[in-house]
Amino acid sequence: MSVPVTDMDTLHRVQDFLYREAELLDEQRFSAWAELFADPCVYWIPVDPAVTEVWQGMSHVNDDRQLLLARTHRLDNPRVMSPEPLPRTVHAIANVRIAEVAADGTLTVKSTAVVHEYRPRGYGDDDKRAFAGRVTHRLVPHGDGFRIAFKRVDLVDSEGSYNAILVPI
Amino acid sequence: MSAIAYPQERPGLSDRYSPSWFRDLVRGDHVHRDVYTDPEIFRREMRLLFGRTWILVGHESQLPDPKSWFTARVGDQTIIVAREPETGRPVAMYNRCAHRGATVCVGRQGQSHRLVCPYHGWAFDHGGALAAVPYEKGYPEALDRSAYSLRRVARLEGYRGFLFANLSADGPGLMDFLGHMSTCIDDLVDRSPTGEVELVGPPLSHHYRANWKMSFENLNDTLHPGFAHAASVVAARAVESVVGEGNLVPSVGMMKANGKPIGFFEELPMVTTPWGHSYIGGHMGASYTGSTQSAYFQQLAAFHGEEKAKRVLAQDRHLMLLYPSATWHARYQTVRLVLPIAVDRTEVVGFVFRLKGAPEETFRNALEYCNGANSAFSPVISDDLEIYERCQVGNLQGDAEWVPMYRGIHQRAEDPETGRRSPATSEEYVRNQFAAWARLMGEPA
Repeated sequence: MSVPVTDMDTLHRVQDFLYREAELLDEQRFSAWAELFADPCVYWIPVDPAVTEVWQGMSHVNDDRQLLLARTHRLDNPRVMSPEPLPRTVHAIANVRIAEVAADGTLTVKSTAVVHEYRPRGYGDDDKRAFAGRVTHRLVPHGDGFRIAFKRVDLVDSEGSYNAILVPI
Repeated sequence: MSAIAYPQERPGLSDRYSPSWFRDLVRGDHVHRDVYTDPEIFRREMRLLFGRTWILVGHESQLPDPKSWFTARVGDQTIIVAREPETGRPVAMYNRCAHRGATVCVGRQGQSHRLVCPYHGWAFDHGGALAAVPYEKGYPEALDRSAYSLRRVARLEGYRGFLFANLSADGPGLMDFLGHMSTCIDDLVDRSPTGEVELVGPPLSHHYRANWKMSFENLNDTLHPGFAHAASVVAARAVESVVGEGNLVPSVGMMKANGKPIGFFEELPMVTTPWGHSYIGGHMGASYTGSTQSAYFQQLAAFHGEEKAKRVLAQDRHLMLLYPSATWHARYQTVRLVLPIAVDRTEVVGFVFRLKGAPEETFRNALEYCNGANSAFSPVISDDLEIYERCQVGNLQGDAEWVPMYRGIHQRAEDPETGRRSPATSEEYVRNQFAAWARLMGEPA
């Protein structure tokens, strides 16, 4: 494991990948988003920012491949009730940097995500919410791109309480 | 049975908010919708209901040493729970400095030598006694410190480590209030092979823009999952078709379990007890892997003896509702506090417990349930929150004032041990909650 002098070509490819991930969520193409994940994979939003392992405590999200598929299948199902109409989001991704490069080519990537969400349900300003978090991706090379083996989102208010959240962060 | 008629008359409008008016809102098979939407009723619930019943506030493992304290809510009141220095016994105090009234403790929990108000530095010990006042000579005469302690909550009692507060000195004791429901606490604690459970990590909380009663009326409702949670049932089945039958991970298996036919739930028991409590039979089909199961059983048998260990593991209750403050799932080591914030806003705080000494898989299995049952991101809970909010908004529409709650009213039977039994498809638990509600709200304060 080493911290490399940033290879700008790799950084651009990583940025492009993360922007594409954000775009799939904003376009509500949830199953296509799930396809970006490797098998096995972890998509994790912990409550306690201090934990280092997924089974140390409760999590807002602790998806393995199966749960990720169930989550996205539900959102893509026209019978789905609660997100009716589906929230619309903008995922703004920033501060992207490659933190580590493993010998097998796995990249540990740090970024920040600011998500603006609108749930058009007639509650006025209450329908607009913002989420912000620091994101860690572990990306494994796949063809000429990547797959997400691990994604952790540390929300700034991870110990706070939330109303229903449908679109992944 | 005789026909159930829609109530034609309005509750006695002439003496609104009088004890008889409150009693009149509950008709046995109907309840008036104002109980969900009227801010004045909510305000009075804080005194008459939350101020006069036993409210679950926490667990002794939150106070590991003499410096520990934690905060909790009882209705609209914020309290501090800490160990009284003289006895080490947990006590509860209102979170209000005896000087200008600032809250003394902020945050969920902490450790400190004294409980110090940040405004002028008045310092209280963990029993609430005023221990130090900076610049004491500036206060006329000698300050009678005893008059300026943090005010104690009338009653704080524990049962097997779980702490309950009661703002009123009058009314039933904790064990009378719990009655048969104390076995639901036993159900959790007895699962520990050391006799101890321990709260782990910060809670996982969600909130919704609707009345607190919506949670209590939803959690033992076995008819809604097939409709409200249909999309995640379909999703779980789709995943199963990919990974093969029997290969679902527990979290997805729990989603699928919501899709069982109504006939299945009709066969499960529902138990209702005095003071609005209830539970239904378990139906998640929970199990541990073979090696964990046998190691765990050996531990339990060593602690309880084989007979009792078998009984403990055979016990299978789904959600247990401790009205009006908490809901419970012993098999998954979770307790949720239902906090009324406003007439149309509620916060639900989910805690998970470790069975001290038990195999790690028992904790992991609990987390699989707790994440799905407590998270606002959960594909299941997010449906429920949507439903609560639709009921809140819908109940403000039009002039149909009464909400029926008669499902299963013809299917109940008295049970000398537990109170009353019904099929788990019944709304008996809702009628039972409102019977307790009318009793408390309809009593002169």
